[in-house]
Amino acid sequence: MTTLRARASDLGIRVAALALLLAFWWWATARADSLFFPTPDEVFAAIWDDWILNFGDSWSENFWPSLKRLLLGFGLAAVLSIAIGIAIGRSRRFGEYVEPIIHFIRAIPPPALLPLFIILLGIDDMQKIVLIATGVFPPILLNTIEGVRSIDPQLFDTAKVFQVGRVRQVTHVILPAAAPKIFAGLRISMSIAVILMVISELFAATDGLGFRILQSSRRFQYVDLWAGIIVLGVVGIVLNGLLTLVERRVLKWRVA
Amino acid sequence: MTTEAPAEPVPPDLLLRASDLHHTYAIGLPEEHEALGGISFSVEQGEFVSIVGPSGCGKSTLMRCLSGLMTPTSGTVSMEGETVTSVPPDLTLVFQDYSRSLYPWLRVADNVEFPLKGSRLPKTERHERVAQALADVGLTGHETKYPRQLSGGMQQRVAIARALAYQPAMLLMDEPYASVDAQTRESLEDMLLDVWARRKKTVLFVTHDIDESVYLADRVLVLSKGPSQVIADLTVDIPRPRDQIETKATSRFVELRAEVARLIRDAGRAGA
Repeated sequence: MTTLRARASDLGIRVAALALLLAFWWWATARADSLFFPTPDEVFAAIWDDWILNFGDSWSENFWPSLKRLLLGFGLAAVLSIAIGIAIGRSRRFGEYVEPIIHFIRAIPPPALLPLFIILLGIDDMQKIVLIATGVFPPILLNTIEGVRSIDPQLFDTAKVFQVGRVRQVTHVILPAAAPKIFAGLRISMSIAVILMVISELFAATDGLGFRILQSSRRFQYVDLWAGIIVLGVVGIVLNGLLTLVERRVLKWRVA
Repeated sequence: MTTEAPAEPVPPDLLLRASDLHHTYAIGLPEEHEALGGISFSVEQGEFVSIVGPSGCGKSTLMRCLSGLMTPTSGTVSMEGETVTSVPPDLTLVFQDYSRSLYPWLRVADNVEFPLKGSRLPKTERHERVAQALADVGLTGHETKYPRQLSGGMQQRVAIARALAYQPAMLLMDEPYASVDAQTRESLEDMLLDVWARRKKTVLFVTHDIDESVYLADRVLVLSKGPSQVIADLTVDIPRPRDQIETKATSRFVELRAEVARLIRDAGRAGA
């Protein structure tokens, strides 16, 4: 049991660690006086001006295009991989046929596909969404397969002795029973999705968070470059936090 | 389920019949194993029949065949005169391992309601059945708990309540009390007898506990060691309602339990 005091001191240590890092950053950059390494106060002032006071513009030019790609790519891949994962998890034979293909696809680093996707799909959103989806697909798929395979067969026997049909077995037995594993896959995939979103926006893009960082660098606006990196970190934390919230709600039965 | 004309006239009260059930696992493989060696018996409407046999005699295999979860190698099971090829709608099975049979993500009331949700029953009727079944097993007030928050005995009560709310004509129970402690077991036995008498169910109860088989049933079927066969069909002529202490002290109970014990011991020797 963690007492309130223990938790408070835990939080204290974390805040102190963060403060120490910022202090070191400030100390090092103030001494170095380098164009490439601005001090934290400059960076945070830039975040305040460009990203918070001017939120409307940065939303429409950077946040929204990126989020749209990320959520579409992630969402499409999640739905597809969970559906296919259930089919493979429930059918040994189907699994034996397609598993080598899946492992090969998984072994390809998704960024390697970017030039191919640009040729095939052009430089619009579609190419970026497909790239994100390709990277997100394998972890969710493999976790879903594992989750479905590890379901206790007696849960299916129970469904059968109560005349529960096949469709309801999928929605009310397989999905909830495999949910812990599926969420493990979704969490891994969320980080991959953010990485691929940025990569896709570093090539042939005209908007998005990745593009903003690239542009800052090209324009020698190094304060903006650092601000963009920190904003991206915050976006990643927020997305993971949201996913964790959903997961806690869905898997409430495990901790209740 | 397919309809087939029964080969012989069926007595009007007959509910479930097993005819010459054989089952062999892994046919043609080195680990080939014959579990059922020709089992025949029948259960009438409203009867409480228990099946007792030495461990490893294929009791679970028998239950899986009777419930339609598994097709026997040969022989037929018929329910209300129709040959069983999948689980009949009028029958359900309570598993031995309640912890693997309840859905851990559903609260107690939702677990009990789960089989009813696919049916066309109106919501109010469903909720009535759930409340009634939970009251029958003495779990009123635990509706919103998750299974893992309950003790083993209470979890098995939830599984029984779920079967009761489903209102099958026939209830198969596969060693349902094997993994609960002795006192819980006695109270679960009496709870079952009480519900059986009030709700007019037909129960087929598998157990390896001789006392339990005699205490609960109208008839005890004794199985031999695998490949199992029915070696005795004893009528338990002990009046109801029964009482854990009084009934078990009667000379008739003592005689019957000794007879069953002797049959099982001899069956074990013959197979060894």
